Amino acid sequence: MSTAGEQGGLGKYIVVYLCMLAVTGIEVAIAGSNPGGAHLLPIMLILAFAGALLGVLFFMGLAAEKRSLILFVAVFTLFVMATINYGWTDSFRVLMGVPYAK
Amino acid sequence: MSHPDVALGGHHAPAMEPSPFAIPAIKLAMWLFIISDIMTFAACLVAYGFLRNATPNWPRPYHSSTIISVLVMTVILVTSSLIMLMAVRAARAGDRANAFRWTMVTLALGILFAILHVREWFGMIGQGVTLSTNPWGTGLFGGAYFSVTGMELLHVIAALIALLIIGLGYKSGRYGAAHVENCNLFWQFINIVWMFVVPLVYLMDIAS
Amino acid sequence: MHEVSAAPAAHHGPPTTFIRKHVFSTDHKVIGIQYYHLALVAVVVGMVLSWLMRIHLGWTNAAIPGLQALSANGAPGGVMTPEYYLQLMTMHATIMVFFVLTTAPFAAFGNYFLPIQTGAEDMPFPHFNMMSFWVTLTGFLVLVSAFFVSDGPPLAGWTSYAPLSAIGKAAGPGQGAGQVIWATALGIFCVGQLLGALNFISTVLDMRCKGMTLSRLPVSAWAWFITSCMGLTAFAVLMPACILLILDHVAGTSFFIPSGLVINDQLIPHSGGSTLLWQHLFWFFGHPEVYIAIVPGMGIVTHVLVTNMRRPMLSMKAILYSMWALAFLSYMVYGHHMFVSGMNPFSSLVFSFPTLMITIPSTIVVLIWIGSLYGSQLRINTASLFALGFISMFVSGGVSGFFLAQPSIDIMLHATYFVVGHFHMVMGVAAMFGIFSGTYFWFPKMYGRMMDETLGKIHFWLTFVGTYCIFMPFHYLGWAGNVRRYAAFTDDYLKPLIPLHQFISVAALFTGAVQLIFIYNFINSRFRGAPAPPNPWEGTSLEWIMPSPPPWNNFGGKDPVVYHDAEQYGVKTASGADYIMQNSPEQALPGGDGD
Repeated sequence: MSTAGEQGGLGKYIVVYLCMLAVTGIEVAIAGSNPGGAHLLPIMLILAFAGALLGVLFFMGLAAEKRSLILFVAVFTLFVMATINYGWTDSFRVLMGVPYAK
Repeated sequence: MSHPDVALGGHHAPAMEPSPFAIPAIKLAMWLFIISDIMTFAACLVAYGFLRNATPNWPRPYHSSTIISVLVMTVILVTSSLIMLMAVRAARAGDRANAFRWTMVTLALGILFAILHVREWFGMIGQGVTLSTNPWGTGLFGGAYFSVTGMELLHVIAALIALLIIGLGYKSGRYGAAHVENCNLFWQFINIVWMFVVPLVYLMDIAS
Repeated sequence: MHEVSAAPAAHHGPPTTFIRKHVFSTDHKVIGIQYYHLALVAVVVGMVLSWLMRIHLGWTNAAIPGLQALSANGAPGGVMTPEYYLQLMTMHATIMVFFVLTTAPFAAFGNYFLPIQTGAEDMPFPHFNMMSFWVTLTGFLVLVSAFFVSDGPPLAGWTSYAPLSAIGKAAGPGQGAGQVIWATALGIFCVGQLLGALNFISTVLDMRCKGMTLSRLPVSAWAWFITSCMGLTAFAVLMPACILLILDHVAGTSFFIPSGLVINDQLIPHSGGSTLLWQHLFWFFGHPEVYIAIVPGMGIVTHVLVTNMRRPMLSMKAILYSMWALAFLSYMVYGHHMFVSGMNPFSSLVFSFPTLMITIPSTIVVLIWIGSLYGSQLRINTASLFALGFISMFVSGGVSGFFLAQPSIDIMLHATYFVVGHFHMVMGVAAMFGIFSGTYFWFPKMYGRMMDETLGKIHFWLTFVGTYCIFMPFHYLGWAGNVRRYAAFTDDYLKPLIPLHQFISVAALFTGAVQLIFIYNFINSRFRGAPAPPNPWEGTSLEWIMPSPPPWNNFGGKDPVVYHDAEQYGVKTASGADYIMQNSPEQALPGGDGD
C-alpha cells in the first residue's frame, strides 16, 4: 500500500482542487468568448486531459502508487484510447465530401 | 512491500507471492473496471464526436443560463470529490465516525448534482428536445445528448447507491477502509468523465 | 492504517447443498465445467445450423424434413427462403464466435485451470465469477429466443452492419424484434465477459502461490491473462455500440441510419447518422475478439506440446512476447475488415501496414513450435495430435491472410468465399482444434477419468481430413468469384461451381457426424472411463499435483510452494524421471536433454 506522502495536510489536495476548477473556468472563458470557434476542439481536449490527469494522479491517488501500476494503467489506457480514435477521419470525409480533412 | 495481510475468519492465510502492483485484489479489480469503463465512455464520446463532426446543421443551443448551471454542477462535483478524499483519509486512520460523516456529505452533494442534472434534462425537454427531434437542427442532437449525459447520470446514480451502502456498511463495521477507497476511486472517475463531458458536449455548442 | 487488508474473497467453505455445489456454485472449477457444457450445447446448435445452410447451398430446392416446424415462414414446405438462409447464417456465426470460440478456450478452461496453475484456492471474486457464467448463459438464452419470435432471428450477419441492422422491419424478416434481441444478447454477454476478465487478471497478479513468480507461470496461464486484457477493453466498446443500436430501434434515434434512405420506395424517417460509425465501433471490438478466440488456443497448444515433447520450447519467452505483440497489434488493425466499406482510402494503407506486421509474431510462434518439434520424441496422443492439427490449420488459414492484408487484393476477394475460408480455418477450426486438444488433455483432471484414446485418434483424423475438405475448396470458390452470403447459385455464372458446393456440403455433413464420436467418447468416458491418475501425462504444472478430479479447495488446504518454471522436461533427476514438477524442490542433474 503506497500511501506514503498522504499523511500530510490537505494542502496538496486543495491546490489540485483549485486547479481543476481553474481548468473548467479557463474552458468556459475560451469557449464563451469564441463560441463555435474553429480550433476549439483541440484546446478543449487538451484542457480536459489536463484536468483529468490531475484527477487521476492525485484524487485517485495514482501518483502515490507503485511505478508498475502507473505504467500499467497509463500504457494500457492511453494506447487503447488512442486506437479507438482512428475512425475520426471518416467523419471529416462525410462532411467535406473528400477523402481527407480540409 | 509485503502483500496485504490476508485474514478472514478462522481460515489460514496462505503465503502468496507479492502483487507486482502492491495493491490488494479488490483495488486492482476497481482499477481494471475503471479502465474498462473508460473504454465504454470513450466509445460513447467518439460516437458523439463522430456524429457531431459529420453533421453540418448541429444545433448550438446553450445560452449563458445553461453554462452557469453546468459550472455550478462542476463545482459541486469537484467539491464532493475533495470531500470524498477526506472520507478516505479518515477511513485509513480508522476513524469510522468521520469517514461515515464525510461519505454522507459526498452523497448529499452527489444527490444535489443528480438533481441539477435531471433539471437540466427537463429544461431541454421543455424546449422541445426529444431523442429524435429538436427545434434547432439535426434530429441526431437529442439522441446524442441524452445518451452521453444519460450514461454519466447512470454512473452517478450507481455511485450514489454504492456510497450509501458502503458508507452505512463501513459505519457498522461490515466493510473495511478498502471499500471506502474503492468507492472513492469510482467517484473520482465520474468526476473525471464529467471533465470531458462539459467541454465536448456543452462548451463546444455555446450559442453565438 | 492497515485495516486495508481487503482479503481476496477466495476462501469459502465447502459447498453443502446440491444447488451450491452444482448450480449456483462459486467454485471456479464448477464454473469452468458449466462454461464448457454451455459451449458444447452452443457448438451443437451452431453446427446444426451450418448443416442446414450447407444442404441448402448444395441442393437448393431440397426440402429439409422438420425445418418447416422451426419456421413456417422461413421454410415453407421445408425449403428455406433466401432470407431464412441469412437468418441461419447470422445465428450460426453469432453463436459460434461468442458462445463457443470465446467461452470454451477462454472462459471454460481458463476458469478451471488458471487459479490452479497459479497455485490459488480460487479466484479473488468467486461471486463475480458465478455471475459471469449466469450472465453469459442469460445472453445465450436471449440470443436463442430470437428463433421463436414472430419473424425469426436477424439476417444482418454477426457483424450486423448498419443501416441493414438499424432500420427495423423494413430491412427484412427478423430485423425488428430479432435484431433487438441480438443486440441485447450481446450486450449481456459483454457484461459476463467483463466480470470474467476482472477475475482472471486479478488472479494472475494477486493470487500466485509462494514461488510462482510471473516468469514461472505456465504459458497457458499467460495466454488467458493476455486474453483477459483484450477482453477488458474490447467488450467494453461493443456494449455501448449495442446500446446505441437498440436505441435506433426502440427510441427513434438515428446513430447509424443516414438521412434520405429509401427502401421499397419509402423514405425511412431518420436523419443524419453514420453507417460507418457502426463498423468502426464494431470492428474495434471485432478484431481483438478474433485474438480473444485464438490466443487461448495458442497457449493450450503450447502447453500440450511442451508436455508431450518432453523438452522445453526453443524459446518460451519469444512465444510470450509474440502473444503480447498479437494483443497489442490487434487494436491497430481493425480497419482491414473495412477495406471495401467506403472508409477513407488513406486509412487502408494505415491499417494494411500493421496487418502485415501482425504476421510476424504469428510466424515466430509457428516457427518456434515447428523448430521445437523438429527432432523431438513427441508422444503421439489425441491431445498432441490436435495440437499438431492446430498448427496445420493456423498456418493454412494464416497464409491467406497475407493476401487479404493488402487492400488492392482484398477489394477483389472480400465479398467472396476466400475470406470465409480464411477465417473459418484460422480462427474457427484452429480454435476448435485448440479446444479439442485442451479437452483430451485436461479431461482426466476435470472428470477424473481417462478418455478413450483410440476413439480420440479416429476422431482427430476424420475431423482433420474433413475440415480440410470443407474449407480448402472455399479458397478456390473465392478465386472463382463465388460471392459469399448468397443463398443459392442456380442461374448465373456460378452454376458450374455447384458440384464443388455439393462436395463441400457432403464433407460438412460427414465432419459434423464425426463429432458424434467425440460426444460419445466424452459422455461414455465421463461415466465409464478408466480412473485417471493424478498426473497421466507426466506434466509439471500445478494442476498435476492434485488428485483427479481435484477437491473443492484445490490443494486440500495446503499451500503449494513453487521452485521451477513449468518447462522442466528432458532433465536428468536422481529419481530417474525426465521431468521435475513445479512444486518439487529437486534440482536437475547435469546432462539432461533440456540443457
